[in-house]
Amino acid sequence: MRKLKQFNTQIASEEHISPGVMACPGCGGVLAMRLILKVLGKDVIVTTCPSCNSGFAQNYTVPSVHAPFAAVASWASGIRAGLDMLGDTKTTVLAVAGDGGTFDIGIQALSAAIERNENFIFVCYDNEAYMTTGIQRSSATPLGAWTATTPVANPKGENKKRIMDIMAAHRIPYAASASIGYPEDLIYKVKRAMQIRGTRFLHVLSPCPIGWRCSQDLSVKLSRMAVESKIFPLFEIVNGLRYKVQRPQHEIPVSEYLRLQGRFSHLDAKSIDKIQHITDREWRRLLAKESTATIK
Amino acid sequence: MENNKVVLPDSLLHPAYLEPEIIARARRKTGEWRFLRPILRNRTPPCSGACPAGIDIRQYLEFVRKQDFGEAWKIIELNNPMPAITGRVCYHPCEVDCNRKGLDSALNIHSIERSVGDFALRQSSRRPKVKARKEKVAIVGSGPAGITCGYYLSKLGYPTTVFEASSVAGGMLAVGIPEYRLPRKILAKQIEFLQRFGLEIKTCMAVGNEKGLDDLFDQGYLAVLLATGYQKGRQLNIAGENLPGVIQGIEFLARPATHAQWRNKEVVVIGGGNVAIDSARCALRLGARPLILYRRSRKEMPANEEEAQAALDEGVRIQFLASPVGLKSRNGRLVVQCEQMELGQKDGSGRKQAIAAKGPGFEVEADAVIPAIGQFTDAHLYTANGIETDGQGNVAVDENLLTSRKGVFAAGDCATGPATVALAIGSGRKAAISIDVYLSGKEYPVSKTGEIVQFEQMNLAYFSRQPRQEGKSLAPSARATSFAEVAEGLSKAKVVKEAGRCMECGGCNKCANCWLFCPDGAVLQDGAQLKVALEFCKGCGICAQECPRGVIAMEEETKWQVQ
Repeated sequence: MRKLKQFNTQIASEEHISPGVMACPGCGGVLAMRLILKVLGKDVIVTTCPSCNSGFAQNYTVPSVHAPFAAVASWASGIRAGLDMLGDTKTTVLAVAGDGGTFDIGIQALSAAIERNENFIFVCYDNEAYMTTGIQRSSATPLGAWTATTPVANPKGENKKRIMDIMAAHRIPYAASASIGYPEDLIYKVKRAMQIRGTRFLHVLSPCPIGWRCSQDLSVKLSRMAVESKIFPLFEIVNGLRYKVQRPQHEIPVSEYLRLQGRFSHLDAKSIDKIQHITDREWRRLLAKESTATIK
Repeated sequence: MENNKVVLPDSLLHPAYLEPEIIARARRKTGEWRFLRPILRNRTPPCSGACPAGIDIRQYLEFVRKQDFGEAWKIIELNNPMPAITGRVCYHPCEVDCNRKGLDSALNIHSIERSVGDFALRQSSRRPKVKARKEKVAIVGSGPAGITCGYYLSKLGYPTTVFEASSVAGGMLAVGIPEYRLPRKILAKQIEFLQRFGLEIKTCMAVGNEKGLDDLFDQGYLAVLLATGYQKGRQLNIAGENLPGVIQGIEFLARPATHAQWRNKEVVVIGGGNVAIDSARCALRLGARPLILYRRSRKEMPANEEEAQAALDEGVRIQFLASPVGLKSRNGRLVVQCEQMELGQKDGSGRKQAIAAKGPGFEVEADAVIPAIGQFTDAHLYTANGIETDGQGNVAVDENLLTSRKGVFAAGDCATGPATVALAIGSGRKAAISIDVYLSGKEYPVSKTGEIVQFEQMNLAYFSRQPRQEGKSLAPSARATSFAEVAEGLSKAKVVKEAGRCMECGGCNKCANCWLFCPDGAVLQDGAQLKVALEFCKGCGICAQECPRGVIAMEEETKWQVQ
């Protein structure tokens, strides 16, 4: 059992998002950003690109600049270079993009920045579709999900892009997946990322009650269930090679996670079995990567 | 149920700790979008809901966790002045209802209570000062109801006297509960402890049947509590019931030691209740070979499950579906003639009825027979003193335990029907409140209980399995020869650890999950308080969903309701 009582007092009480946020009720993205900014503190410059984050970046009490969709990693590189020129090593540069700005439109700039090992933290808050513009599919949308562009008659037939494998292939200094269902873990990973130089990547699952067609109060619960069902495993990769996978304390079948979301309500038992099968296979592959990570 | 809700006051709309400029600068008051609002509810945990004495278990466990047994005792003492006794003998309905059993196993509440009780008994029983009052109160019967009432009244300053007909104080605690469950040393200490506020107990003082109450009023007592209990064993109403060698269970339990001649003898106990089990276990300790005859099956036995199991462990035999129809004397021994029974339809109590099966009956030979099929109260005392009784022969009382005669109250079994020690304590305390109201002309206090938290309302993601701390008990082989206490208590370290398993159902323990998970930052920590800034709360309900203890609930905003 996590010791919340003691733990919560360790989390900074200072807020870096002022109240009155233009996010929908129950937004997982704004909760993720609230927790991440608490850890990063005041000395941070945020750069963001078109996403729901554009809507609530105006409430940040820390500086934030808005980049074109494809260029958030380039902007972060530039801001970092500018700060370095000024001799400011204290300020952290944080690039924030949704799954569209990371998996699809922003991937070229991100890949280039990691290749140059630019010194910033990149946070992808992943709500698994283009939610701002009306729930269009992205390459982060999971297999079988409904979106406005993958209707129930023809739901998404492709697997979610394995962004962490792409990151690992870059031999990025630090990449980790995190979840708002496990706030201590999320905070630990941000703290760890802050201690590392070079490009650091955080992949945070951020449920969207509107796009996921679920109840507003389930954002945190679904984040937790995604980890428990191993659909969204929590792990860290250091230098693209060393994996550390967290085993969920309590395991559930994927059907329990899918059942609570309207975007999966059309799935029949066979499709759910298929998702379960793929999930189990990917989990085994992930564990295999962890166990072979000792190869020099 | 309206008054159970703790509605956040409107002043929270502009909480001082959210700086006014922040509110003014906020471009949008996003709270205006809200359809639901979070409400903090004061909910009752199932343990307290089930406790016949109504102890605030969640609260005293909090102090036990902090190793502050003194404060824990103060919480228990508000409802129950003798936790050392109830921790031993109560059948702990609190544990039966404990929400924790859905996760792993129920909390060992009775062992914790026992530790706190023993701790209190070890403290000096110096008499604290209380403001003395003039109105004298008499209590008839020194059972748990009587002495509980006496304790609270003497604490309030009333000169109170308990009249006990028998030579020992304690009622059924002294003469009904066997020593191996409640050592007499503990009982004596507890009774001495209860007298520290000046309660007087007069033993060997029976209140006369005829005009007994008039005499008490003549002696200057302004209020009388009847707490006479259920003291007589019910007759079997079969032939041969008065043969030598037949002794009522309730009489046997009062003095088991006088039956030492039962060594290696066959003893038949008739009945399936707690008195039957206690009688059989006592007979076993005298060296006898007890056999219980019960007319229904194990499932229908009214005896406490744990006690029945302990009896079986010790080697007590139980013959089910056997109903005695006659007793005979043969060659200096007793013969119990039995009918074979079978189970039929369910009766009013929800148990299957026993009906005689076709075919021959059978006989059981014994050296002694103990009927233990229930008790009754001697209604003559009440009727002779002009007090009405109800259909069952109990004293007729209203919800405040007033009888039909002015100034006379009744508590315990004689008012509620046969029940448990804990209920008698609860009833005795209630009588003390009623008598205080009667004598001082105060108003009745309003009792507040919230909705009981169900297991489904708990968020189990925040609790992990932990094994229940069990106390040791005397080995069954050692029990056959001694009346030593069977259950040993828990060590202090184990008690504190066990209290740590409490899930604190329905009580906010400031875990601050609501603050941590609020996407809008609308839950604010103000010192030790958690408050909601309704200006910015969008009513998503994550706080209610993630509250581990079911404290927060969502309620519809009235402004959206169609009038």
